[in-house]
Amino acid sequence: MKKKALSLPFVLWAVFFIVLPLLLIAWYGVTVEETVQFEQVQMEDGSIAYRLEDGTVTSEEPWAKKVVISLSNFKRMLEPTYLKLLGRSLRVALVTTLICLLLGYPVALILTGKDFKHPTLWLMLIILPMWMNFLLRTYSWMSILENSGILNSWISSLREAWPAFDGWLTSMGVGKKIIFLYNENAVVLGMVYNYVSFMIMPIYTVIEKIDKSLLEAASDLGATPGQSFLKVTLPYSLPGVLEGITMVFVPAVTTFVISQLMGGGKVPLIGDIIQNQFGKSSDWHFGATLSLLVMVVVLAFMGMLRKIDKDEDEEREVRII
Amino acid sequence: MSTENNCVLSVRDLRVTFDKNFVALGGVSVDIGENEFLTLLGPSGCGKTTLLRCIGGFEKPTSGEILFRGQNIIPLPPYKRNINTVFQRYALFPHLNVAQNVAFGPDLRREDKKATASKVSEMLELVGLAGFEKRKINSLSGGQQQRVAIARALINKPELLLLDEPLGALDLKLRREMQLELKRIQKESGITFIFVTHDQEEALTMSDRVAVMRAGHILQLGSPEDIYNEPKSAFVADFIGASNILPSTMVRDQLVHFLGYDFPCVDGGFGENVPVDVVLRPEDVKLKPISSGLQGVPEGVVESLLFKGVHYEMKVRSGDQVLLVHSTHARPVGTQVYLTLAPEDIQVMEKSDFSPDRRVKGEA
Amino acid sequence: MRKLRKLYIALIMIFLYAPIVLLVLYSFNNSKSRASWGGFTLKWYQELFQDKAIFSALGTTLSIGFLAAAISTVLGTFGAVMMFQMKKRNRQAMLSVINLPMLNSEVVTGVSLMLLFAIIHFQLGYWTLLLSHVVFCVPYVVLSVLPKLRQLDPNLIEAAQDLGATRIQGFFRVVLPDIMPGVVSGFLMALTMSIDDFVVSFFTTGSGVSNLSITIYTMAKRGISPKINALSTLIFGCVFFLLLALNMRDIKSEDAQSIKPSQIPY
Repeated sequence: MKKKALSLPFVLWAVFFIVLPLLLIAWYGVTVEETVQFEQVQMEDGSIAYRLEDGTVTSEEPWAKKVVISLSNFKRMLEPTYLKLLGRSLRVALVTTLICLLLGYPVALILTGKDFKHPTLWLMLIILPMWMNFLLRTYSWMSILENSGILNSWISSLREAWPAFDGWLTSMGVGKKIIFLYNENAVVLGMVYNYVSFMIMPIYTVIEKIDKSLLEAASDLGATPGQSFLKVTLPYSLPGVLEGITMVFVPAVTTFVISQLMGGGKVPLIGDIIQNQFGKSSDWHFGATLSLLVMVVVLAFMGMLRKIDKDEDEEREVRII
Repeated sequence: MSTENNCVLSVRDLRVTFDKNFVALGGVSVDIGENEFLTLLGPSGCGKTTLLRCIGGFEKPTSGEILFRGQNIIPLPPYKRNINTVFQRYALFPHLNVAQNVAFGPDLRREDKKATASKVSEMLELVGLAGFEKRKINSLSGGQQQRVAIARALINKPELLLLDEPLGALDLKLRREMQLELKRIQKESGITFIFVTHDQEEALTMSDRVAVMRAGHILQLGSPEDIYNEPKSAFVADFIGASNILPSTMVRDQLVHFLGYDFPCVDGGFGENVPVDVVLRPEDVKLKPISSGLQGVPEGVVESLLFKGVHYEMKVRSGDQVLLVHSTHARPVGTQVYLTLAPEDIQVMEKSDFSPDRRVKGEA
Repeated sequence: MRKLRKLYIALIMIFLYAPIVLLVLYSFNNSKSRASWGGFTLKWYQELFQDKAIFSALGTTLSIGFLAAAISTVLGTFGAVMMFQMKKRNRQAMLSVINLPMLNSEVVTGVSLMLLFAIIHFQLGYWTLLLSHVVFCVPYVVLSVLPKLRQLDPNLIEAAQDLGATRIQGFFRVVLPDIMPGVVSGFLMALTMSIDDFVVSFFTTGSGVSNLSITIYTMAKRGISPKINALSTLIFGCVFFLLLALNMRDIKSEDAQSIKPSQIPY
């Protein structure tokens, strides 16, 4: 069989389940559903009926829905409410990504250190929490942080046992209960917790692959450990860092669960609004417009980071099947 | 060597063009006889591997014929040809052990397991790896992997074995050993070998016949002695070994003019006052002390001297030419010498567009 | 300096495991409230095994997870091979398309599939859930198989054919064993992604079909039952000990084979 005929099913699959759905979003995004009110007519017997577009007269259904191309949802999207939401989503996602990078890079670096024993075991321990449902883990954080939660109860027992600490906190204007939850910081914490492993893994993989003789060569040529980090490890690890940033930023910019739980509904993000449009408020068209916006923002962000395509291999044609 | 009845493989006017403009093979014809060891020799990119891959079935020629026992095999996929290949980097299957690798062909044909096992042992013995059945591929040295690859091909009793630079990855000592080994295996198995290499020494030691290739063409096909002693072109002469190739004029039959002097030679038939090239083997150029006071021979100055073990290698400048000279007698740099040549050591060739690399001429 | 590094890793571990330890503790807590410790109990575990709703959600999660992982492994491996064989330009175009579900956020993927199912009038339920999981799992398989194909020595394929294997035989006997590590890690990644997924499932399931994530999300409004904690503790414990055992075996063999026979020059 011809090579092309063989690959057709897979290409069709990708078109139908990846490209077509995105085109649908685009279509929904640029259209709105309009309610058409039909002309009212007085029937001879005095009852009220409605004339439909094709001229027939009916006593039921006084209106119909019609899909028309319109940019009104784009206008709506540019309202300050939504722009503010988008701004907050981006801010939260960027802060989350930055914190994940600052926390995760040293972990990857330490695990790949030459005197660190059993790095794969530790890496496994870092990935393992993903096997506990993330909603549950987020919940668990809530019970640590809530007003009557563990952290607060520890702090109050500390205050009782140590009046000086209590006095200091009071003088700093800290109330009896510290409010950790239901603000932007709590949302960021929830996201950092959920996504930090996504940052560690790719960086670890890349650093681990760096030829150790490069580092030896660097130190042989007189580089201090700090210099060889800056000149060798850091530049070589950049692809992993980019990968990690992608893997954290993309989910962070659109999550809606973590913000609902940790933010208690007070810190809605763009993802929450999208979810709403497809749920309670049920305006699929506006939801699609917002999805389109998110998609463009994310792809633009990725485009800034790197070329999507990292396919470095040379042109060669190999036939397997 | 190859008449119609004992011809195993006949390649007729084979052409391969890649991407519509790069000509990998530009019309190659060659007949290979029963139990022959033929070597395709040439620099990388000369088309030797493409020719081999066409015969193996991994490349579709643009035009031409490949007749295997009289049948055109071009439409056949590799698995339907009774031809096996030993690949450059062996291509042993890493997930199988030695015995499983060797038994790959018989297993595909669902041959009896017991019979296969004994055949595998037999083959491993032939290649000198008896008892290696259970070993992992990555625990073998390069030379051992090489032998497994040969055993894996030979167990299928191919009528033709193709070897694509199989010794390229081995170190010099091992390569010499394997050259003899391959020759022995070929004699014992009675199979026709087509061997691809860019190493002229390898080609000369192992082959019954050598085909020197360049830019998609066979320049010369003949026994190693023919090729070495009577290269038909400057390229062959240069490629086959360190040579001096000098632009010359054929004054008339048996008289050639180069380095500013006329030399008697044994060649003829070029016409009179025709530009030609002459090939002088480094060991054939004799140096005589200036005190000998010879007449009618070119003079030269020794420009460099290297000790090469068996002989000394010197570069001698005469006029605007620099000649490579091998001699058991060292002459210090700066020594003035006469250059003499015996008529039978002067090989005259038609002028070709080829200019040999700078190894000999331009290095001064 | 070394101590500092160890301390840092320890802190990160505490950060990662604190909520998990807490969850495990809650599953043994006699009090239903999260705020107080009411003594040790196993009653949540007992109740868990009688809770049909939770078990059906678990069943959905596992069956979707394994089916989606298996289907996407087959499809993704096939796709990777097809893409590998394409001309460079086509391959790059295809790669960009395949990358989309990974680059797009889950919300977009979920919403887009929901729209697709709505347009073709495919009733949301188990099958749409399965299909959607396959859709977002395939890229992970493709991206873990493709590098293995690139590392594959093309001569191996030719050698197999040279020795009498048809293309299909060559694929199953030579190529597949060679790329197996990529296929397996693709499968595991797909399984993990599917089991942990909430967002895509949220948009693409319907008619009362819900997996664990959705059950937990719905439950959240009324407060999470400690039974779910018990279940999660069980799942987590199983995975933890399985992976630990695998890793310990690796570590042991690592130590035993610190000098491998293959490293001794012949």
